[in-house]
Amino acid sequence: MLAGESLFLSTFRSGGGQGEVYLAPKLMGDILPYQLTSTGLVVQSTSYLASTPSVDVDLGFQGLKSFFSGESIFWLNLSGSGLVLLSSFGAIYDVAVNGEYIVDTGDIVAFEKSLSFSITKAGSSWLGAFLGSEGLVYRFKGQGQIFCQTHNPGAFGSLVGGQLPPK
Amino acid sequence: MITNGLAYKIEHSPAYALLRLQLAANQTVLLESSAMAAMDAWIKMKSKVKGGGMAGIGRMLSGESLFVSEFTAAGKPRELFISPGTPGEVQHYLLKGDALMMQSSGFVASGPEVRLTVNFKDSRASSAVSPYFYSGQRGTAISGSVLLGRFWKSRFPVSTT
Repeated sequence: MLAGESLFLSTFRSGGGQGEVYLAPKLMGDILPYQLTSTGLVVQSTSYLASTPSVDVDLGFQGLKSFFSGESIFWLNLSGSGLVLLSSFGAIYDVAVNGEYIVDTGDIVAFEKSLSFSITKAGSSWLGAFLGSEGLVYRFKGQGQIFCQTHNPGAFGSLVGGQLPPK
Repeated sequence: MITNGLAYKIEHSPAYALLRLQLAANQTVLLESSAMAAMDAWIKMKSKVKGGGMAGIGRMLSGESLFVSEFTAAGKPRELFISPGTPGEVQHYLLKGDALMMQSSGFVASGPEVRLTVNFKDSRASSAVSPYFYSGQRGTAISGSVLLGRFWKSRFPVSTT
């Protein structure tokens, strides 16, 4: 609930015969199927769509650093094995990291648990980081995959929101 | 695709275009500030007022950010992902010593040899739907290379009266 997700996950079980379920995420964009292995996956909370029952979904706390990045403090920790469906705003692209990689805040869908991240400034100076409005970014370290969305819901909201007539 | 030494790929077009630049060692590119989506950690970023103080103020008046960000691949070839603020297409345009007028929110990225200036909108254009000022892109070098974002906004104009 604190992660901005609903408190409850719905379970769909086919009764006697076979059944079909249609899922639609809130934002327009892609759905990515991900086969979860023992590595584990950290998911940005609004990007979680569905998973098979063999996957454990826990609320993960990534520290106050996420809060300062304008992101939710809570992430979902997915462990176990099975199929996970992730949704995004825009398309999803994956980046294979070996070493260090920088991703803009708000663009993360999920990343493998073999990676760790910290919040840093994008440029060499703090002043430049804010003036250039690139602001804060994630710096990932380790080896693994990051899944990013092509568009940032928060940034798009503030762009379009200003153009809407006042209520 | 490689045009004038700037290797790029446009992916997920036309709905959610993502621009992928392969920078050669020590190559520099200019981005609309906040357009960077993901990049190799060893790319150096610098924000600067593009085209000097006056041009910067012009950019601000045109509703654009005062700053553009300069990204340089330090030492080795690096990769850079760029996503424009709104969903839509991205298109490449090559300047050959000429100038291009564009809507100010359309700029995504360019090579460092491209000069950005801001022109105030022609009074004849004031009856047009778009309330934006136009910023001109002037390539001082023959090798000027601009990457333009074609916008959702331009296809479904949002009223800003």
